[in-house]
Amino acid sequence: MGTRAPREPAIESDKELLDRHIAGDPDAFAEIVRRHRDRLWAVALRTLGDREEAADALQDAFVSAYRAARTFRGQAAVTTWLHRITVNACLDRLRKAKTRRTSPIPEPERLEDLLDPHESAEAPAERQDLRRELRTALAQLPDEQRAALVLVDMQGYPVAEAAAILETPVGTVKSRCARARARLLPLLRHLHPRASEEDSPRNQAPGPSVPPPRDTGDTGAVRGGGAHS
Amino acid sequence: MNDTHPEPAEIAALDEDLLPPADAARVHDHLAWCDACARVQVELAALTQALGDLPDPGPIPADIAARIDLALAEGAAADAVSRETADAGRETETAAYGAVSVAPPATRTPASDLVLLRQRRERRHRRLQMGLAAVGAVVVLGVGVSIIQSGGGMSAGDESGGELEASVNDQGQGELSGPSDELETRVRELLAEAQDTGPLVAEGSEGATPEESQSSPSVSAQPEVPACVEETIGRREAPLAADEEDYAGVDAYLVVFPHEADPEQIDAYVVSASCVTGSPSTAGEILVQESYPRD
Repeated sequence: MGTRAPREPAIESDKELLDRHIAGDPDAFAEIVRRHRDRLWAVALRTLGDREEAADALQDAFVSAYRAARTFRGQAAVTTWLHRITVNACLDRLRKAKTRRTSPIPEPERLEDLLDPHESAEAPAERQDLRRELRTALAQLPDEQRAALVLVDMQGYPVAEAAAILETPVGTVKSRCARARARLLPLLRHLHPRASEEDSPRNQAPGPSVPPPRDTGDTGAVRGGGAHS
Repeated sequence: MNDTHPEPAEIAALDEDLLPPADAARVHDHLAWCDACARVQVELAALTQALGDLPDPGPIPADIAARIDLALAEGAAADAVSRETADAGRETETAAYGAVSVAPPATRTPASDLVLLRQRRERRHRRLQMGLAAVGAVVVLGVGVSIIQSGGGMSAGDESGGELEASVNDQGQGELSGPSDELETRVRELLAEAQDTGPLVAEGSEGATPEESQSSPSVSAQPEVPACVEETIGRREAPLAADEEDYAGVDAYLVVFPHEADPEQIDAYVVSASCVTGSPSTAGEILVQESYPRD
């Protein structure tokens, strides 16, 4: 069908490509895929933490988008729409995995290898440690908090864009991110008491210096607590 | 006053301007004198920074890109086959109803099966949007194509004869592919169907009288919600509307209730049908719960 070798159109907007796809152009959607797959791959991989799950989710998402192109109403950017479908596909896989009682979030060591293929041995060991700890901690977040954190803190999307992708109010995205960060903090501090760079002795791993009432940081103080999963 | 330390979540919320003014002032004051909590605030900022500094996963691996291309190419091939089938006429399509294997692409792989399955779901969805939902069988193997090709949705309403055949072929599963504005749209459609089934169906077919429409099995005004789904939701009153849906590939029920507190709103629940179709031990699960304003 020629979809593997899309020709490079001059400068066509995503919307124009989508219109051509709807009109039956067999190459148009392949070009959309080509444009967006790297970023969507990053989102899926970071949200799911597992290569195969992420690949399945992304394939599901693109097939859905391919089929549902007519339902795109142009109220959002095509890229937002594609992100939304991708994130939803990821969350769906996580929900299904829970009903199967197996987690697609793999063991930390594996997660590290998967998420960081380009990490070279040159990186300072302590930075590698921090990264490993971050990924381990991320895997323990409730799905929706992790999805928000991936978009905002890891991918660097503006909160408004993340809200459009997640179809939630901006405040909900902020709240999920805030709760996620608070929840990550003790996990990281436990593993690596260096985040503050101030006075934590390096060889004294446990013992958070702060006396939070509850040490998980998952609190009802903001909006109803983090009893998500 | 500042007798307890704020929780890290409160400090994080403060940084996002999420706290009510009184709480914000309290936490702010506390941070001014409590070194430990001030350090939490610094750590939160460092954490955000560290997350942003994680190396990008890099471009999509070639094998996964190829796999996606293949799935899409096979979807396109299946489209072409489907169009031929449709072009052959409605008799063909009707005759194909019930057939288990649906004109597969020449090279049939699990991936192409996936695509075909999705196409079937998609088509069911189109018909459903015409207000032809029937609560009933879970497995549908209809092959209709003409409706989706005509543009889908309500605009397909003038498709001649579409709705009778569709109401036969379509046993009433829609697809909610995920985005919740689709869910809201679907909720509204369902409410419209439940409250006033006649006009929707009548719109869908010139010549169909409301009587015919209402006698058709497609009316979902009196939904049958499996007991385990009702239990999962945990609400006793009769739902405003309900139907089987395909929620992003999961067999599910969409059930709409009046809002528990606000008469101006409705509550929509998407509950997985696992408790119906799965083994007896499977519990239902609320996949989505949303509230929407009434129209």
